[in-house]
Parts: sequence; C-alpha cells; structure tokens
Amino acid sequence: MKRIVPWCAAIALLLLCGCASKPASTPVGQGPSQEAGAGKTGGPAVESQKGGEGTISEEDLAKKEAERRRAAEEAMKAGGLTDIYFEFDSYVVRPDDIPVLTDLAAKLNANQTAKLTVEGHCDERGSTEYNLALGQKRAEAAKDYLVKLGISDKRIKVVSYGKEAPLVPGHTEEAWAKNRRDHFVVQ
Amino acid sequence: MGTSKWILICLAVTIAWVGGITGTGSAKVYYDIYGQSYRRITIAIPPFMSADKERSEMSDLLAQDLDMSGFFVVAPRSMMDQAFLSEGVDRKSIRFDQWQSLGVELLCKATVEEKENAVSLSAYLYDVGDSSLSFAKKFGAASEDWRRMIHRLADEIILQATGEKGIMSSRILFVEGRRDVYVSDFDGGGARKLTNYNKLIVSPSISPDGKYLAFTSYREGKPCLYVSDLDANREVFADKEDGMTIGAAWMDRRTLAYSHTAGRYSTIYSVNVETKDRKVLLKKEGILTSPTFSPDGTKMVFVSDMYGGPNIFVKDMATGEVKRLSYFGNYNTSPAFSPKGDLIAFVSKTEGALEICVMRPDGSDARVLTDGGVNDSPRFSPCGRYIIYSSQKGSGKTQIYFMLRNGDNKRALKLIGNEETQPGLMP
Repeated sequence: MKRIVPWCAAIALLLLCGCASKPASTPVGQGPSQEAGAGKTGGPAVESQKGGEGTISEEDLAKKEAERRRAAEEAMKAGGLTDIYFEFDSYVVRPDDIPVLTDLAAKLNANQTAKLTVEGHCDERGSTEYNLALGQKRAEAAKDYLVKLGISDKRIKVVSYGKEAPLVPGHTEEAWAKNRRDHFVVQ
Repeated sequence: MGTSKWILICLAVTIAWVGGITGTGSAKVYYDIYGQSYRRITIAIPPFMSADKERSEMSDLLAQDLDMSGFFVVAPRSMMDQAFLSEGVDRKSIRFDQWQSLGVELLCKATVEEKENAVSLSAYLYDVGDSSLSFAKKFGAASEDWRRMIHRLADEIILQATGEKGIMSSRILFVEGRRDVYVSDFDGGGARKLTNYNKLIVSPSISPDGKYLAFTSYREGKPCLYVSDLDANREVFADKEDGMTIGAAWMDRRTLAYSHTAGRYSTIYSVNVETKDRKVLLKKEGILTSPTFSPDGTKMVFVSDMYGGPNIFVKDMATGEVKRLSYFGNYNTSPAFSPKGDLIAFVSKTEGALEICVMRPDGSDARVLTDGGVNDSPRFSPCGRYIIYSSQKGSGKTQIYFMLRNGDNKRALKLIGNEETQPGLMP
C-alpha cells in the first residue's frame, strides 16, 4: 500500500495543477496531450489496486515515474504558469502577484527536474536601452522571490526582452499594463 | 538686403550666441543655426541640361536634398520663365539682376555628360548678390549611382553656404524590424544588411572610423554583446556573460564602453576590442546604462536609477565625482553628447509622451524639441547640427527622423518601410 501513496499524491497534484490553470489560457494544441498524459497516469494506478500488492515491477515503476514527470511538466507548460505584472518603471513584485509566485514555487518543488526561464518585459513607453535593463531587473525580481521560497537559483534563468517583444500590440494603457510583465517558461 | 550686410549681421549673431565657437573662415556664413533662430537661404536650381535634353530628375533630387537640409528655400520652377530656363551656365550669360529681383540668393547650374556607363556633372554655384562664382566643381559616378553624385553636390553647396558639410551624402545605420542592422543612403537607396541573423538585435554602434560595428544580439538565445570587424567580416569581441549587456558607445577608434546588468549590480565597462583589455568605469547597485562621452573624453554621461526613476548623471573621469544632471520629471534616458561637446540630447517622459530634449553639459537650459509620441535614441550628426532619432506616433510604425538641433526642420526618412529604430550615421 505504501507505494500507492505517491501515486495518489501525483494524481492530486495533477488535479491541483489543472485547477490552477485557467482553461481559457490553455494553448489549443496542448490540451489533448495533457489529457492523454493524465489518462495514462490514472489508468495503471487503478490497475495496480485491482491486481493487489507486489505485482508492480521495478521497470513498470520507472516507466510510470517517467510518465508522471512528463505529465506534470506538460501540465506546467500547458498554461499552469501565470504572468506577473509590474507598475510603470517598477521592478518590485506587487503583493497581488505573490500567490502566483508561491504557486509557481510549489509546482517547481513538485517537479524537481523542471527548469524555469523568467522573461522580463516592458511597455513601449520608455527608451529601448533602459527598458532592456529594466526587464532584466523585473525577471530577477521574480527569480529572487522564487529563490527565497527555496527554489535553487541554478534552476532559474532570466532573460530580458525590454520593450522589444510586446505580448499585446496597441498603444493604450490596457495594452501597456499587459506588456509590463514577467513571463515564465518551463524547459 | 545685400549679402555682405547679411554676413555682418550673422557674424554678429554668431558671436553673440556661441561665444567660443568659430566659423570656418573660408565659407560665406549666411546664417547660424546654433542660435535660437535662423533664416533659410533662397536658392534657384534650373533644370540640369545634357547635350540634347533636360535632366530634371537630377536637379529635382538636388532641390529635394537642399530642402530636406533645412537651410534652404528652393525657388519653385514656376517662378522661372523661358528666359531664365534658356540661359547658359557661364557667368556672362546669367542675368543676375533678374534672379535677384526674384529674391534668389544662390543659383546652381549644371551640365550633364553621359559616356557609356558613367555620368559626369559640371556644377556651378553663383552668389547672385555679387554676381560671383562660389564654386565650379566636377562630379562623376557610374550611371546607376547618379543619385549619390547629386547628394555629394548637395553637401558641397551646404558646405559653401553654411561653413560645414551637409549630411545628405551620409549613410544611415538602423535596426530594421528589430531583426537586423541595415545601412542605406539618406534617401533609402542602396539599402543593405550589415548583420544577417534574423534575431532580435538592439543598440548598433559604429566605431568612429567605420571599421567596427558593436551590437547586442539574441542570436544565442540570450542577449550578448558582439563587435564585428566590417572590413574583414569577422567577429573580434563578444561578451556573453549572463545578464543584460547593452548600450555600446565608442570612446575612440577601438575602445568601446557598454553596460552590464545582472544581480544587484550594474557595471559600465570599457574594452579595447583589439587587445580585449577590459576596465570597470563604474559599478553601482540598480541600473546603469547608455554611456556617452564628451568629445575630450573627460566626462562620462550615463543613465542610473539610483534616485528612483531613470535619470542622467555625469562622472568626471579624472576625479571620479558623480553628479546628477537631469532634474525635470522623473524619467530621463538615452543621453548623447554632441560632437562639439556643447549639448547633450536625451529622452524625457512628459505627460505620457517620450520627447527628444537637449540640455547643456551641466544640465542647464533644457529644452523639449519634439511634440508627442514615442521618440527615442537621439544621436548627433558628425557636424553636430542635426539630431537623428526614432519616432512613433498614433498607431503608426516607428520611423527614423532627423531635425536641426534647435528642433526645426523635422523630416521623416523614407528607408525600407518596416519598423525602423535606433539610428546612427556612418562616419
């Protein structure tokens, strides 16, 4: 029975990840593979209960562990990661975004092999060069927070795009607010 | 008003306004743009003639160049009746009194000769006021390069009239579509790529002799600073440290300064790209970027956020003293020293717009030169009279503009037509 506990935890984690992700922001192409991964993980666990203890070989376990890891990574990539936003010309993490980073740290803890890249972005109302430095500071602000939460700094890369790669085109306050962000990418 | 009287007035204005700056003795100084205001000079350019036909595409391009320069009013062709048009190019056949009655001060005439694949131009510039020949010059080019020949003539006329060469025959460096560095003629002709990575690229900077190009490229998945030898077409230096490496400015023909931001600190380095000898010029917490140097090398001006928003600071290179220069608003970036060292152009955020401004090197006398939109990356022309910059307004694309250093004569350059940013002039 001991060995089933991690499986239950994995399923619970998957469910949690599923809850945290906004369905609307899930990229279309990623949806089915995430479901397929969850299905595979769920299936064998039920089977092992039916077959009783001792029927799970080491090979099976390793295979299942790999599948679980892949599914968890896919779940993270598939929209579990929310951007955080900044005030104009600021590189201070807003209190509103602390739960986002806490949640991200939990996912990284549950998924020890995953590596994270934090991309720092700025809105267009600033100089190209200064904004590139500002984007670096924004990305490092999120990294520093994650490191404080116990994530190894070796797992986190930062890269600034300044105002050179806006998410939202347009020249309105709404567009600018969406472009002043850190974006998280899992490798 | 006679030309000589004008010279006297303008000399007086020059002395009153600029004190130390002396005009070049040889030129006829018609006016001075270092002052607050200046007067454009009226020039007439009758259609250039080859043996049997008008070559008005050439005289029209010259008219366009001189108009763009901001120093001239070009007399419209409709002012010239047949008598004017049928005059010869030699002094004796020109009726200067008639031209003067039209208000024309300078007259440029030229004849065109075409031989096989080459074209040559004999150009004559006359001072209408005293009926004298200002210059007679011969220009030649391959037939397909006739536009460049006209740009050179334009710059010679500007030199004659203002004491300094124009920038119409300059080549301009810019980032196209944020993906590659291009160089093209001022009129967009002859555009070609200087880099070929098709990846995000920022802050191109050309060495004073045009040999080296420094830039920050994301071609290896993260921003790194590279220096290419354009003559040998090879990379001579790269800084691939993690973090943001940007804002290259040349201190001399082989010494580059740039900033690096990673972790708590930012550092401004200088590096000799040939010996790779690197020094720390300044290291501070927070952001440091966009170094620019006074022409005598005694002052480094840069951007720092040490007091909150980005502001412009100066470091005395001898004493090490650092002083804040910009005290207007709380967002001042992108400084650029003028080549004469008498002004610093920069970007200031005012009421939602980013404006190109100028101030004295001590931070005094700041003036806003643009009027709204997102304006960035000001750089002075080598003669110091123009500021070239990028501008984006409304929902339009970012375009390269230039203007006189007093904010007059803002002109958009028609280059490739995509997003065009971070301009510079080739030496």
